[in-house]
Amino acid sequence: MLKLAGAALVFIAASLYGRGMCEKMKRRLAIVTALDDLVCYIGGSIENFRMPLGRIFDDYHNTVLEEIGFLNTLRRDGLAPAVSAIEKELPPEIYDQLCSFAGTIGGGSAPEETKLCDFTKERLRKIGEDMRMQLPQRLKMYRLLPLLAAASVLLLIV
Amino acid sequence: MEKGKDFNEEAALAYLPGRLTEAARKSAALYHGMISEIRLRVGCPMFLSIGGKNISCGISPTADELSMIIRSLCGNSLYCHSETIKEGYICTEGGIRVGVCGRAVTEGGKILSVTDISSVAIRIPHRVPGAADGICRLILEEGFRGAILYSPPGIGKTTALREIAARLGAKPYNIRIAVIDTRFEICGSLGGDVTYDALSGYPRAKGMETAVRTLSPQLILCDEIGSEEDAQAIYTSFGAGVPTVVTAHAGSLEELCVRPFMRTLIDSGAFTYAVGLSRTQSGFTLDINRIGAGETAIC
Repeated sequence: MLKLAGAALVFIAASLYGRGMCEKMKRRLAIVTALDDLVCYIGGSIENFRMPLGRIFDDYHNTVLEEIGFLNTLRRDGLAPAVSAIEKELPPEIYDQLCSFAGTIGGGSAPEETKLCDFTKERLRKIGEDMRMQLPQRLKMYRLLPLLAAASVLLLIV
Repeated sequence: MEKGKDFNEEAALAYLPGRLTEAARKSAALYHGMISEIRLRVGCPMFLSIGGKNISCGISPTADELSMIIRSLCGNSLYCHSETIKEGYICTEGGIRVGVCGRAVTEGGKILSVTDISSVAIRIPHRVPGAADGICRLILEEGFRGAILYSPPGIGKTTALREIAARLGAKPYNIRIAVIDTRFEICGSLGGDVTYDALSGYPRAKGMETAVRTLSPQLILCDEIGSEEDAQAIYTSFGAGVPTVVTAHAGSLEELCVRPFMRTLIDSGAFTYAVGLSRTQSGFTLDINRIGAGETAIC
């Protein structure tokens, strides 16, 4: 009986962990998609309206970025502090890309800024697509994790 | 005429690094005056214009500080100002005009960009309530009259134009005014109780043409005219029954007429008055010349 209860506990723990990891992956993908949208918006506003960054940040709205507090920091402190504040939510390659973008944006002419936005957008889109492609496999793996863990425990203790 | 209290000094000082702000505040306190201009040059002492005097603060900005000031003046969005920087100025959102110069990158005689900015002159706009009352009376005489205001740079033509907009666009006059604010320095510091149509950033001639065609103004205000194209637009506007009040650089009416297009424009009768501005301790004095409506210009 105790063995079964132990296996059940491992199953529940592994389930929760797997679910947490699934949620985290989906959330990361949503954030990357939202950031891609933000960069696209910045590029369009600069190219078409020559709007200053402060006004672009004020005008931009996105539920995902609003929920994680990114937009508040962005409007109050600027892009670099906002990116730093969500470092843990981002894959390292995206974080590095955004840090470089935040350090450069606003310092050049409109064509230069548009090019920078296009480049960053492409990078974010590529990383986002890779994540999107990997997502079903990862989700499957995390869903199988509890079953495998419980089965392993059972096999070990029978 | 006393200077108003709505000076944008604090807004301008906020663009400077802390040590420069502190030095400027100390100098302003020492000379008991309001700052009308801040001049910064890399490696040279910062100068302030207070009450018409140039005062050295004895503290110099570094190249890094000047570059930070430029970024700050541009709201970290240099691309918004790259075109005006090529023409030698930046205008901030609050209507503060900043003259800049550095190293021009040219191709075929055309400036592609300006880099290594080494000098910055921050001109702080201010309201001088009542400064334009005399000019407003002339404009309102027998219907609406056109006028050209002239003076050397830095005397207060733009301030006078701003006051005209503030006076005639508000109660009790509520005149339909179109302001051609090419350099964003007239409307930025006007209060919200003034009603006017602001054509901000429009080239002067295009702005006047647009105003006449689409806004049915009773009066057009335009700052610093200086080309034949501007003169043609003023004449067209005059022909359409819309008088204009404009400003131009000149030390006297004779100097104003040295430029052939200006002489033609004045002779055309588009302006009833040419008003020379000069600064006194307390404000402006006006040198009023009736030049239109059948009278001949003295030039």
